[in-house]
Amino acid sequence: MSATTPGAPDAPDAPPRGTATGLGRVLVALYAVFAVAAVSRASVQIATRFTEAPLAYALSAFAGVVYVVATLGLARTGRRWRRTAWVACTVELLGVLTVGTLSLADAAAFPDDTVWSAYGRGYLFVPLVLPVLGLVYLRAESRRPARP
Amino acid sequence: MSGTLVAVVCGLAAVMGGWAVLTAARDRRVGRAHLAGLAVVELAVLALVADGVAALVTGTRPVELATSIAYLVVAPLVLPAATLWTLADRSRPSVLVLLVACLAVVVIAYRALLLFQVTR
Repeated sequence: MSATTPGAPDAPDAPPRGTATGLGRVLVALYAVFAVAAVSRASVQIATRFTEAPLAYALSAFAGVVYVVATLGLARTGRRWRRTAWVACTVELLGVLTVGTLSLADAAAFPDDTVWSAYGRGYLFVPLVLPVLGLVYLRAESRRPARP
Repeated sequence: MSGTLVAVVCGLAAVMGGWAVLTAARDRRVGRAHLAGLAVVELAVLALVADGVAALVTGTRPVELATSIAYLVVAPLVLPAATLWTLADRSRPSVLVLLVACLAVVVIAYRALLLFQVTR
């Protein structure tokens, strides 16, 4: 990403912090897609057949919320949002690893798929790659020279 | 839902996504030609949605009815949202948001086809 990228004029107290412009946008776009996908999937599952697999559907909803929070955390600027993004991406990585392992080990508890089942196989493993990309990006960004 | 139509949507979206990558690689910005291309893909998506709605109206009942309807509702919104977003930030990599959207359209069209194939 070019450091000289002309962006929209920022408020003086919120200088550009990477994810609001440029390559970070691609990441935010991916997160937004997954936020929509996970939230809609969970809404449908919970609204139509929650009793069939309460654990899987509750986790679906949780995954959806985490994606929404991660999207916001990455899209917004400022230290607090950055910290939010860190937490969300970490929870997401732990979630996809835990749920992925559980869904393979105890298939009975997961009769229906969630975004995180089998490490996100139903979503081309993007759910597994996304938090790693997010964390790498946040790390790279935090190492850039601090704002004055 | 017509498999041919799904193939057309996927093909057009793939071409548009490739174009976005080329544009970013050549350090160009989104121009009128891109908007025209996006409009073509969006028209194909709308045709697909119309096809899906027609199938529902004429009595096709996918097993995953609610999900199928959700796909038909979300599908036409993806490209306009990405376009607005790309135009709002004229930096070089923001063109790649279009790539993400085009890939999403491919996945949505394909999954919609699968959803409409499993009927009760």
